[in-house]
Amino acid sequence: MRRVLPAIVAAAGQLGCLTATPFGSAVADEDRDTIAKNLARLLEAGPVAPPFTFVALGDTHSELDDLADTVAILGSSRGDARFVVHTGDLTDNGLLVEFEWAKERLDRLPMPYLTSLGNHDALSRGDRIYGAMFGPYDYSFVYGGVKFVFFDSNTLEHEGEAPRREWLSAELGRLDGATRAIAVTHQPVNDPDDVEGGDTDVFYRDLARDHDVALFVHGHIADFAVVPFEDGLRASTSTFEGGHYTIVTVLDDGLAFERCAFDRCAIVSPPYGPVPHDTPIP
Amino acid sequence: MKPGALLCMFAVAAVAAGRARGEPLESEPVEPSAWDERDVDRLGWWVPDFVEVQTGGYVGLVAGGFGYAIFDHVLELSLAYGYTPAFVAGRGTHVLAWEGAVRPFDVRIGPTRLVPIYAGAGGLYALGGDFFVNEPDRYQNSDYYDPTALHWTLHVGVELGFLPSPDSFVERHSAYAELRTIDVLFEALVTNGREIDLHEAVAAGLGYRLAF
Repeated sequence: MRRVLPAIVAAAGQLGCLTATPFGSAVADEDRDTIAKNLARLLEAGPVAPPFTFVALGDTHSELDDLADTVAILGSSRGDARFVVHTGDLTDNGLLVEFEWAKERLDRLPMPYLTSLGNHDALSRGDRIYGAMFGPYDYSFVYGGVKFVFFDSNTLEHEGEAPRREWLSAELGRLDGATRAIAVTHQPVNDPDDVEGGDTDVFYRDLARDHDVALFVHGHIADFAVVPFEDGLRASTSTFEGGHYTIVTVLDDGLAFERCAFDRCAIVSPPYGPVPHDTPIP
Repeated sequence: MKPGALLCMFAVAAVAAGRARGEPLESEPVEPSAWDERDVDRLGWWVPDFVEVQTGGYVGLVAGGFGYAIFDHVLELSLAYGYTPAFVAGRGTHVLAWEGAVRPFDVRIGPTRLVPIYAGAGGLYALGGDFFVNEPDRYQNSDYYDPTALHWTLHVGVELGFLPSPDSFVERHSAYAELRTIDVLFEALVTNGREIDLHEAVAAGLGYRLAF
């Protein structure tokens, strides 16, 4: 009976009709461990050296038409990008169906994509769903001589747990053969949401000052910017509405940036911005 | 014309209309039944007019509730509790659902009564610590998020009822099917005309109502 009942319910679910609840967190087997799967795809392609390119976008929320259009454009005209990073807020409310919708569009990308947890993703049972569907909140890997460190910066949603300061300091202090680091997260490191009297912004500044972090990539705020942050740079991908994303090219001795909206891109040199996300792209 | 005469004419016309519909005169003590009226409050207006059980429709794998028929059952109000166990939802999920529905007309053929369409709106309240109505105190901007525990809903449905004999305690046995959407999914449907299809934003529910 313990096997029959779930099978009946699963069969009803296959009919696509009798959805029992929108608040569930049961992730389908085929949707699990997306980060690990995509990371394996990326690293299996073999070692690379600069220059190489990746795409940064975030805050896609429920903008699924725009996301699908952007994914199609990246697939057809930006095949040079090795991977895509999503800085978080795949959803508005952290509901399972929202994650499924976002993942279904991102899965159309021909290149691997890697995600960071957004504050909206942590609502309801979203953090549980995210963990099953995508993977760990904090992880790192070395690619093309760069150590990429993805971390959870949602201090209000994960009070006392995010960011994991010791882990983050250790990861950025140990480059594992890389020559520099790029950190990807959701909250702006210069002005993160924090509890009253919190010192997370001070921690990030110390982190950037004490470690060789070439770039922090983040989302959460509406403005686009590529500006200095302590000894490195900070890139705000801006809100996604209107198909906004950023192309980052890792060079031997630096970084180059393009600010894009759908198929229109313009080279921007830091310091650039902050500018509202709807500032026209020349 | 004097107001009293007008009132008298209206009363006569009402009685005549009642006779034309086969309704009994006041002097004929006949208990009203569901065969004659859509809503019969034999037990008093405060006693619920029906109880229901349901599966699906975002309310729960199993849901049960009660409701009232108002304005001769043109309007229906109901409250239900739904539960979805962990083997379906990943975690046991408890929901309170309330709704109002307009049932503009029905079709009666012998002992069957078909409500070909009804439509309404309501709300879902997700119980438990994973959800909030008011943001926790640590949020200094207290209206940053919409409540995650509260969602509005829209639904349409069809109901097929069977009327037992007029002297039965049970007024009606009904099976119903509904399609329901919730705010998050409806908004996604409206704002993503190409990527989200209707069937992705609604869930079907099947249920049984016992009216008395």
